[in-house]
Amino acid sequence: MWINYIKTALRNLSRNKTYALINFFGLAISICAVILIMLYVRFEFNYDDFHQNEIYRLSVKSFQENAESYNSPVFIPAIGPDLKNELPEIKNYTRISTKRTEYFYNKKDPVRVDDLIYADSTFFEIFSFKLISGNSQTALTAPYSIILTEETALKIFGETDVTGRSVNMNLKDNFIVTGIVENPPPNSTVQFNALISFETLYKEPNNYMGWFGGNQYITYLQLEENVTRETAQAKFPDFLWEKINKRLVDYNVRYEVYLTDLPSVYLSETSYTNIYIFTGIAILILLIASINFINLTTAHYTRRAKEVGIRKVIGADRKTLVIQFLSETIVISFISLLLGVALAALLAPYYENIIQKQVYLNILFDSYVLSGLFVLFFVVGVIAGSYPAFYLSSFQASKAFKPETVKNIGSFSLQNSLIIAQFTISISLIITTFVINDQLDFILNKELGYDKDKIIILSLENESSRIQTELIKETLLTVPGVQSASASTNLPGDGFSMNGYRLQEETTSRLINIVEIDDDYLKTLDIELISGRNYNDQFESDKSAYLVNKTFIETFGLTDPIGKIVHRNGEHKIIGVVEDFHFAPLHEKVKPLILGNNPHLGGFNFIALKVTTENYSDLLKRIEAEWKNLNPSWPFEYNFLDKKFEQVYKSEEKFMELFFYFASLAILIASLGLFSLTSLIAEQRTKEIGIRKVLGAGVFNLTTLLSRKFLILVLAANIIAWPVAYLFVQNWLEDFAYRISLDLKPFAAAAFIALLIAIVSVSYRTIKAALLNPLKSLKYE
Amino acid sequence: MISLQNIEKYYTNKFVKTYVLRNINLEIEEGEFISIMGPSGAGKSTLLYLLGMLDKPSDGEYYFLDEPVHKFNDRKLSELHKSYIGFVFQQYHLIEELTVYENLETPLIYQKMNSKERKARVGDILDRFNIVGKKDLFPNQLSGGQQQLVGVARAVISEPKLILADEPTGNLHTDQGEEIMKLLKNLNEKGTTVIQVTHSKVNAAYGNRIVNLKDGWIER
Repeated sequence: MWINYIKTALRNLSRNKTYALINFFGLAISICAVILIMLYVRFEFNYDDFHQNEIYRLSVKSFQENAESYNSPVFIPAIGPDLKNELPEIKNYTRISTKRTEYFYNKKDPVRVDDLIYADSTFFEIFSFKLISGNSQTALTAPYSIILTEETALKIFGETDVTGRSVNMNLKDNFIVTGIVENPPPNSTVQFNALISFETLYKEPNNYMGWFGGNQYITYLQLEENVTRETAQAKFPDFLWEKINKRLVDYNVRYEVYLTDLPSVYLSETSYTNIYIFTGIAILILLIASINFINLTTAHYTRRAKEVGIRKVIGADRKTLVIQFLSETIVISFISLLLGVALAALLAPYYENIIQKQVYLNILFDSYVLSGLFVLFFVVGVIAGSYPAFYLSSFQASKAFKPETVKNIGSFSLQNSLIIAQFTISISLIITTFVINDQLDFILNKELGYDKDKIIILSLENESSRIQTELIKETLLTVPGVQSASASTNLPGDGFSMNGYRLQEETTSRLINIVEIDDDYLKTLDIELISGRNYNDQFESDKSAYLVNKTFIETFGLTDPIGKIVHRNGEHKIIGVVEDFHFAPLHEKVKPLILGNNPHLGGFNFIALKVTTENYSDLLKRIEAEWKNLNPSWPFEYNFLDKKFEQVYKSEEKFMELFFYFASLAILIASLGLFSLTSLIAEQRTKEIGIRKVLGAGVFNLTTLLSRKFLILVLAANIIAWPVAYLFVQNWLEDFAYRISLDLKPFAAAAFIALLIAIVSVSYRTIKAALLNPLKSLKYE
Repeated sequence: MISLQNIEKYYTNKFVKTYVLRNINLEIEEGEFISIMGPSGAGKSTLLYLLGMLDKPSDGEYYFLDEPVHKFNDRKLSELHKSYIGFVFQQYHLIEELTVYENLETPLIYQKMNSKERKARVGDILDRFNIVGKKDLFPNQLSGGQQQLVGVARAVISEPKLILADEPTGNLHTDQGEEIMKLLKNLNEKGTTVIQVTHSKVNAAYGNRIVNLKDGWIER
């Protein structure tokens, strides 16, 4: 019996190749998309799952006048050891610093190492990172010990067997390599290229290692057995009161700490939004393909009504027929599943490139995923197959032989609603793509209040370079093509750091953004001064003066700001106000900003050069030559302000790219479906077309006759899609403080595109049918 | 064998009843060869489908081997139908995706016959109908007469008591038609009851009784 069914099914498919191909590939492509999205979601949910221990990360919230002003895992260094010493619930701790970039000297040339972190000796006890060589117990015990990843070792030494060798950092201290460590897996929250023993920090005179400063460290904890997160956290308020909070009461500042278990750390920081959106798209794509499957199968089975009739006459009952048709659709969906998996495996490397994540294709083959896929294909096969199966098997044999009774299936309302559903999804996706694109365009081209074009940023990586900024500026200004130069602690784009300041007679301090600049900053970046005056580096008194932005005076209600006083380590007089500029990403509104003139400690971090050339490579060569002239040991690191700016919106661009691909896929599958559906319907109506032609209908007449229904359906889909898409994009846009206002354009464009796609997919077959010689089509019956 | 009592068949469309069969009373004995005749639209095919249990009467009683068919549900009808009745059509109605062999085998599959027995049965019938050489061909590779030969073979393969034939020679040349009619006659002589719908007086002559239908009524 099965052989008989499968034979019929396969011969049927080979007889209707377009139908079969579209069914297979539509389903396969959608299964491929679902797999790829599943891999991404699984990656996101499996973050940090490789650690053996149960690890908690400590985070801090600070409150100012009971308003939360800071929430971050980055906190002071003293809390870890004190917690372990004083609370029996805490079994172990390890601290890591925020990531640094340092330069290492093995031979003459500096080697830049990013993502370097300082870590406690307990690092390997708590985390499950693997040492390739070295002793995990002692490697991070002694000060000036360093552990390198293989990659970093190769970069510095040109080989990996370097345990025990010495290396110089920043032309200052020598470090001993005490081990080589495997690269942290991509799904690890803790990422590094090198580890330096935490003890080293205690040897540096400039590091605050107590409770009242040095906000640069993240603490991870292990709890004693049988201690829950809640019981440990319950002890924290008293502990913090003794250590720090009781001394901050006068300042109206209070700290709270809490624990997050490691697997949740990543997910709590990543917004779930993208995961939700892409899971949603996966479901929609699958839905579109299933609709194709149902529509095509139904339309195609209409042609098999005769077969149903015959089988009934020669003894098949309804159950047997349902089983026959269901097994056919399950076979189709199974073949599509295999194709989809193969396709996903093929596309995985490109996909990784787009999402910038490793997707671990081998998780496809764990039993969990496999059974999930199996259920998926079974459900698709059964759902897509059951409608046509039950409908067809209900035919009375006597009716099945009369084609006209069955033919109505082509104009039947389920099919119509399914087409509307498909196009509603497609149109919504097109609208969303347009809006996301417009918003990105808007951000990337928004008037920023400063000029990001033609600015080269040079990093001052050495202390010696940081204190010689005047000399560097003077030297580089002699290079033809360099128009102006400015030193600063930061450049606009991804935001500035914050410090506490007290205004005028106020008693409590507020957190305000701060950047330290020189007197060429405004000129170089073309920032407008709206009142008062700019700094003058000749006036020693300007060192303690402040410039502020417009939002600053508006927020704090300073009607006559010039001469007003701001307190922080002394008094600072406001000497000028600048127009607002977007120093932080456009997700947030411009905030109050102080532009100081007195970089403490290390001095400035960057030199910005405004240049006039088009030929950057030439100019950069000349700048580098001058730079090396000043001091050959200074690493030459440059960037462009507009590139840095774009970098900030990279994740949005990636999102856009991915969204675009998946949306296109959805639309492609929907139009493929429409194409083959019209083919089938045109074929069913061959006789009618023949008769109409004999009666004098023209090709145009016939084409409109056959396409009209679909165009009406697509228009109906627009009406449903518009409000749906409107709500979705409106919601998405809320994340941006500066956003486009929605107009009719993306909606109209989506409608136009959908209609165009529908017309193209429909007309090929209908025109072909309309051009057919009527003699042939009439004889066909 | 068959008893129809006051059978009516009508379709209701927007509260207007359209009658196809009216007050049909008919007794058929086992071993008869009956020809149903009448002009187009007289209800001949409908009557045949009713007899074959592929359609249900709107009214009246139908006894087949003394069983009240009009009271049966679909499953029981299907059971009765597949064990006792074979169908032959004007358009042959072979399954185009299956070969001659597979077409002949399908009814036996539906009767849940095991494969060994099926093989024997199909081989036997191919032999009897002299179409062994054609067993691996698809229907569209056969001439009309050959297709109808397969159609008859398929109808008799499950050894039914009753063969219903809907203008079995309507699409055939005269000599091909004659061959099919002789075949039916032959089956009838071996005991199978045959009921055919036909337009042709010549074909009707193969039978032993003629039932004339006009506008849904049996003409006396």
